[in-house]
Amino acid sequence: MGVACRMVANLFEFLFVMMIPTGVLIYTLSFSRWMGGKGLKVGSSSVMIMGICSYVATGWVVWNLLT
Amino acid sequence: MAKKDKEAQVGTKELISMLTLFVASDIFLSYPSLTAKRGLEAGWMMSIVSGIVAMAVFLFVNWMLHRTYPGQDLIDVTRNSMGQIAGLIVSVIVGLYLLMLTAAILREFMENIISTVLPNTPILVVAGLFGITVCYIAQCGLEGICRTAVIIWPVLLTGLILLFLATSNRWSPTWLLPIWGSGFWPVVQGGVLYSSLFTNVLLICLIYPHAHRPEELTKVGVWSIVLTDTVMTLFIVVFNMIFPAVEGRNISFPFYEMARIIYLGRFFQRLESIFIFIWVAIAIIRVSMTLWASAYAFSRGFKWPTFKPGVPVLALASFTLSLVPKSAAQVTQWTQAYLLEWGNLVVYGLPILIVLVAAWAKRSGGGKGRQRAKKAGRSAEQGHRDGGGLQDGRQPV
Repeated sequence: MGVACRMVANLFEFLFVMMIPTGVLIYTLSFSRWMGGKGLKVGSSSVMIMGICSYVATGWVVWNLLT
Repeated sequence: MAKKDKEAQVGTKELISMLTLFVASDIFLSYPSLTAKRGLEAGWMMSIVSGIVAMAVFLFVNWMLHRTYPGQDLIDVTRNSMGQIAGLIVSVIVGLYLLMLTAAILREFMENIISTVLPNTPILVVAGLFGITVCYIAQCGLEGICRTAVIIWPVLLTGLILLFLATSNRWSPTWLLPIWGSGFWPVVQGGVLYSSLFTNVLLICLIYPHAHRPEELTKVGVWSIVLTDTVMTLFIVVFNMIFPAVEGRNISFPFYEMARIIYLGRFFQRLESIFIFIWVAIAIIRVSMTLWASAYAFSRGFKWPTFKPGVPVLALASFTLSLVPKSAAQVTQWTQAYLLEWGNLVVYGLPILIVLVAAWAKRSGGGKGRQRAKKAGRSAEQGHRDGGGLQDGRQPV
């Protein structure tokens, strides 16, 4: 029971911490779409890859830090 | 004010202030203890050797750039002489190096704050607040950072003079003896090895076209290296006079420890809380600059229309990378091994290689390379005449 409660608390803490990274991801993806619309394929895909990689890495590091 | 100054994006004074603060901020981090570790009593000589190396490399690269590709930065030169792919690779290498540097400084700063002034605050909170501030300043661009640096530079100077005077009752000049410390060659070797500290050489090559008066960039480079070296050498001399080399090499936060031992009587003691403001302000400028430069390098490489959207994502990446080392000791170890010692390859090796290859390509290739260089040079001059600093679709800074 105690372990489950701790897991749920960690999950909420994790979701709270990930609010800013999620905002950054949305911002980056919107920029990527904007560049795609301008025909800048390399720029668009590089930003998208960078945004997704940063988001996943942040999630992994924060989860390890909290649990 | 001269017409040129009105049109200026970043003036000479601003650039000198920013570049000086950028490198001199290392005295707040682990650099003084690294010099004490390697050079013992002669640690201060290592910073002089590093300064000489930085000056020699800067003057050579600057001269070659002026001579072969006037008005162009390192990435333009790479593109014009070696092609688009080489330009992309150079941008990514420089961007990644600056990103790692941002992460390392961020973590060292966080460790400083947590272990000294905010021991009960979670590292995520300190990192988050610091990251947001830095992200905001970097978003303002080179001009914003340089103007902030102009305001902060006198504060740093006053703070350092006050710190030196307030600790003068604890100086022991005999602790600087024997004069050669660990020996002549170990000191020279250490100075050369840690000379990548002067990242301003790389930065100048990167921001070349964005100075309003490119003809004064030699002055900017020389003055920033001389001022930084003077500040760092004086600091290390005072540090070694307060803490003997054997003790100094184990001190992680030299500036804080020096401020902490101030004792000028019962009512004037332990004034570290005053110096923390200086410490934080300079750390913010330093990290903002590396973050901006990283975003700028990536934007040039991948041809983004503006560097701005790269700033939040790179701030997030540096935040994540900064949390990867398990302890403060590991951060210092990684910084010393990978960013300082191997960093020479990026900070000095890359610019030297590029200008040499570019000069060779221009000489042997003749027509096409020269035409492209002339065209780029003309467009850069035109951009400066128009006052915008915008050329070949490059973004404003």
